[in-house]
Amino acid sequence: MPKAKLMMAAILLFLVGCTPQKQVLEDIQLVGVVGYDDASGNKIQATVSVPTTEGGSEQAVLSSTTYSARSHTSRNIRQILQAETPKPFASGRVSVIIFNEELASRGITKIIDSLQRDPSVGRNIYLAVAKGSTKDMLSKEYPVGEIVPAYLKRMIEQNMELTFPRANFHHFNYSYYGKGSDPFMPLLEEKHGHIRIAGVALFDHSKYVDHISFEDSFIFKLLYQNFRQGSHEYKLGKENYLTLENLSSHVNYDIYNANTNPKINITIRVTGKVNDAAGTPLYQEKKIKMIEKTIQKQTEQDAEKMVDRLQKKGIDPLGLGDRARSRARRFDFKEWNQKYPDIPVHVKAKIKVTQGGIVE
Amino acid sequence: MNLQPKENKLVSPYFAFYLINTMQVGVGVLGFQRYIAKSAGHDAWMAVITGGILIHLLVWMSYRMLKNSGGDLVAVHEDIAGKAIGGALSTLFTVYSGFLALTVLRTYIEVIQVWMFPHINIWGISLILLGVVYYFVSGGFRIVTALGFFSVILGTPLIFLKYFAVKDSHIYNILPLFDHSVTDFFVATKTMTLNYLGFEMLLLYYPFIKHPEKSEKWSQWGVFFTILVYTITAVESFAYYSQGQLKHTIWATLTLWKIVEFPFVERFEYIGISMWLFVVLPNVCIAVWCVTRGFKRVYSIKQKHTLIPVLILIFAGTLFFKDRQEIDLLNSLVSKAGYYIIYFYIPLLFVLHWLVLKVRRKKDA
Amino acid sequence: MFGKRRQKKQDRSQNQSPRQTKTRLTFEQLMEKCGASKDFVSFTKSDKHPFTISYYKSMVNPDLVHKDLIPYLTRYSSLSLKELSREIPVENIEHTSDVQTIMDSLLTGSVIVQSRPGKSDCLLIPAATTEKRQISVPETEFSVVGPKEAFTETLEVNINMVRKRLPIPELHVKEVTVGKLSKTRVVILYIDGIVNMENVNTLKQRISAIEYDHILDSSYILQMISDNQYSPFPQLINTERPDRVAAVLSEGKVAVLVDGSPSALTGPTTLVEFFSAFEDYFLSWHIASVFRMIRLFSVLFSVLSTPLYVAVLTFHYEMIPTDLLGTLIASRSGIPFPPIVEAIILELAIELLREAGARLPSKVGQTIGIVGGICIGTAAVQAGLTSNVLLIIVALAALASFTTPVYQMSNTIRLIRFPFLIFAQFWGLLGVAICSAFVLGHMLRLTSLGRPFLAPLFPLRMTDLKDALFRLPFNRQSLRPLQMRPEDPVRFNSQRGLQKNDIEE
Repeated sequence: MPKAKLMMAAILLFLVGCTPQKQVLEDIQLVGVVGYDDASGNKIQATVSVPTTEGGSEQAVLSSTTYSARSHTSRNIRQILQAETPKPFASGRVSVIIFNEELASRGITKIIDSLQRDPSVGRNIYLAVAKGSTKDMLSKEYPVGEIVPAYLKRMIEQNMELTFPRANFHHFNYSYYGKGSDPFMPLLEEKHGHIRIAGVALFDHSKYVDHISFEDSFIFKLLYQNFRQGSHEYKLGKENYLTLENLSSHVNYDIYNANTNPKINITIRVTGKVNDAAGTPLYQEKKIKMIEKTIQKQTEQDAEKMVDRLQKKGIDPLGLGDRARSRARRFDFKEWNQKYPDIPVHVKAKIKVTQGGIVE
Repeated sequence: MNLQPKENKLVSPYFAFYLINTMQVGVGVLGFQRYIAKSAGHDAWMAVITGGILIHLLVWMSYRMLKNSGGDLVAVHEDIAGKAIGGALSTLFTVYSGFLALTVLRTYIEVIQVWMFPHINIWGISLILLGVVYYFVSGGFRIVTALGFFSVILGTPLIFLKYFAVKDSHIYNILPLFDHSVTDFFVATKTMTLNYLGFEMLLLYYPFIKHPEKSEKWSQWGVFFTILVYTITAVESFAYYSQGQLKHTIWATLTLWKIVEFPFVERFEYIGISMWLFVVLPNVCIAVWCVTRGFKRVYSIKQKHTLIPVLILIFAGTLFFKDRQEIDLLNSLVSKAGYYIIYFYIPLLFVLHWLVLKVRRKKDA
Repeated sequence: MFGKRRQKKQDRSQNQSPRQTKTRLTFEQLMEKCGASKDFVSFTKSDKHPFTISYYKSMVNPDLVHKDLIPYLTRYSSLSLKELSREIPVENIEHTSDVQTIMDSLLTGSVIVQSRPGKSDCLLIPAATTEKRQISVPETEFSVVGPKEAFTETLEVNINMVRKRLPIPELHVKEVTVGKLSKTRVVILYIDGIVNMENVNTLKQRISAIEYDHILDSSYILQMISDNQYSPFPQLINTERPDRVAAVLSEGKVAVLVDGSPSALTGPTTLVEFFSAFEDYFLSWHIASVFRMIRLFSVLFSVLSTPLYVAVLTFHYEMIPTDLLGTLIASRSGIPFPPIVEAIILELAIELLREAGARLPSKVGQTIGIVGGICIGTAAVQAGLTSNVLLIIVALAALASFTTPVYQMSNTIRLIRFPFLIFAQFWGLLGVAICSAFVLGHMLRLTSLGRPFLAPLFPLRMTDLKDALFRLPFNRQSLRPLQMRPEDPVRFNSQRGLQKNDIEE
């Protein structure tokens, strides 16, 4: 019996030698943001932004630094980057991935594929397209009190709460692999020493083809999902403008004859309040009716124009095909895709404006 | 050998609920969506329900059979085919239980390998997990049952994690209903079988339940709860993933956990996989226990003498099946064996046993 | 392997202790043996009265000898021993010539009176002095409200304190003497008609089977009669509160009191009982339930927090919340040790402080606590040896382990943290899960006097849950815990307890 116990102890000691590879927090470099640019000769250039600390544990200061390298495959870039860093890279904390416009329009299949396979990459990370070089964008410092990875993540996150439609890695995969919808992501640009969202970057499967301006992203979001925040500016009369603050919006799709002769009715119901309508008396029933009508008309127009534009481009970020499939048996995507640009889409908006502000 | 175990080794009838449920919910839940969706697409969640209803029926059959034989599967086999052939059949069933344990364990190790520790030594983790299994099984059936009980208690709250996916789900994804042919539907039901496997261990541990007749109600509820778990998981996954995406997602449930975020922890899948140990352990323990019990009943070998060799064989098995393809092969083989056992063998036994008893009763009368 | 060794030890002890040889002493030999001690007195007062008095000075009450014995002996000098025993105003006087009995009672403080020196026929007059400590306030199980009495070292006083609370003839006290040298009196208390005699018999049989030379405290017995002596978990509760003993006796449990020990053992117990303070019954049930939950949570926290820290920092950096990541990276930067070494050093430091505090007089102990806690902690962080985040975690975990009301259990909790730490270092979160599985398995296999240790969680007993994780109000406590399988499970009529009057009645 003592022999058996000794054996057990020996086996346990032996097991100790066979433990998995450690990734101790301070012994790795946590990649926060990866930017991909296109480079000459069919190569891609990757820039990673990594948080670093200076000083001891009591008065440590966080800052971020960037590394960048070029190669044909993203795995190899990692290899090259490794050559100039003190600690190995770890991809588990990537929060934002940015592609520059040129690379995105060439297609991002390869990069997506390798991201998709890596189990340490999360699904609620953000993908984005950047105007200009991502290397420049990442290596600059921004006076926002945060390091670049945290700044980018927070900036995108809070915009998706407001007027920008929700689009993270999961949503991208949903449309990318699924039939009947196309992915989209935020379009970033650097302006006046800050990074800002410039609009919605629209993809045709894996290729960046078009974008919607940030001002119109509210309309896009109205069409895309139900939500409870965000605001949009409308023109009232000739010189007057007003801002509708969304309290709750619902969108409903009615798709008729999806298999044969499709026709789509989109109904948007918005309840909101008007805060900033300079000079318009908001307590008059008649005035409110008028405002509602104006907003409704403009929303319908803008929305129809936007859908029409998407149809002309042959892209479907709203997932009309996906929705149509759920309305019809034996749905044929090929046929749908052929008909798609010419399907009549009608948008109907129902706006309800409630009293705004704490004074009359 | 003694047919009836000692009174203080028995478990209360209501534990049948936990025993059945814990045995059916295992590694399968982590990634069954892709397999059933392969044939029946967005309608596959209905196959989960139909498959479950068949299991209800089979549990009913098993109980009829066991009540009449007054013992376990070995007794039923002896009733029908006599000592020699019956013993051989029982041995086959026992071997199948062993493979079931191996499949579950190896698949779990695969999950660990892919998701947590890509560089982990298979034999190391396999050895330590089998050490845990040994500790529980050597404690006897009551301890194994207790493990099953805690497994259900610890594992069930994980269902609520699906809440995090609700805001990104499109429930219209599962529409239109009945969009697939009956054959597709049948294939999906068949695929679903592997996940429902495990309840047939009832045939061996039945005598260990106190007043086993009273436990049928609990067993049926156990099956019902399993169906509930699988249906919720399937519907939520179909709503959350597009069908094309699901095709590329091997572990849909695990991938879904990736978006779970609490203020104190992100990336819940690591906790989930670790907690899943408690869901997987009773699977392996009950199956291993059944192997040792089977050998005891057929060959009168003491359970403590078979336990170590069985664990060594399972250990060897985990080393033998190396990569994804081989594990898939193992899964589909065991699934096929299980499919024939539950859908053909149990009904056949049921009918034969019924006939044999009828003939015998006539003779006696 | 252990059986064999024990066998050998027994053989040896039998060979080596001539004290235990059964050869009977003669009375003269006894007197000679006793006379070898300085505190043995044997004298004849005068020729007028022939009685010889012998006793151990250190064991008898001199007042009694002077006032109640010698005057009577002088007065009735002509009576025989038998007649004399009727006259002396002391009860339980024994008249015997059995040398063994004489020796035993001499050693427990009797005075022997002989009619003639050298004659073995004598009276045994019990005159033991009982030097006792004042009954004091419970220290390890202090409660803010409620009784402030704790057991003392005197068995009679302790029994008195229990019987005062349960003045019923059904409270039985059974005595067993154990220990070859110490001859310790151990009593088993139970309420006849409520208790399941199976528990009493198990306990009695186990206590009588104890083979040991000296039993100086109830914790000796606790360890010796545990179902699994190799388990780190205590399987009986050790309490110094007579009120708690009275309460558990009325639940149908059995209590053990040991002479010379200020704490009682109660059993059979369950794991959750170790986390219920007796004060829970003095507070309103909502508050008591919340505190109980906090205590249970603090156990989990105490065991798991440092292992989780090690696991997450060593393997699963992905799991750290974004907002915490910066803080953690900053606090870890520049630390020369990996998380496991850091954690073990700090855990050991805390244990060091606790041990030093416990071994020193209370005033110095406090200083040590402050010096250690504040100075060493701050200095370690400033010197960059440990991270402040871990310092907070370790200190909280230590604090949490002290919320456990039973001292033995809180030691166990601090101990089992270390295997968790090691598993966490090797397999991360999975290791923590594996270690938990082992601990769960171990607790499932444990029994307390043959009753499952994890009840009422497993086997699940819904009726017992009323006083386990929560404490429901008293009118819901109409049944005694089924765990003990009491003969009379009903405390009171629940119908009457739960009766509700209509409005306006």
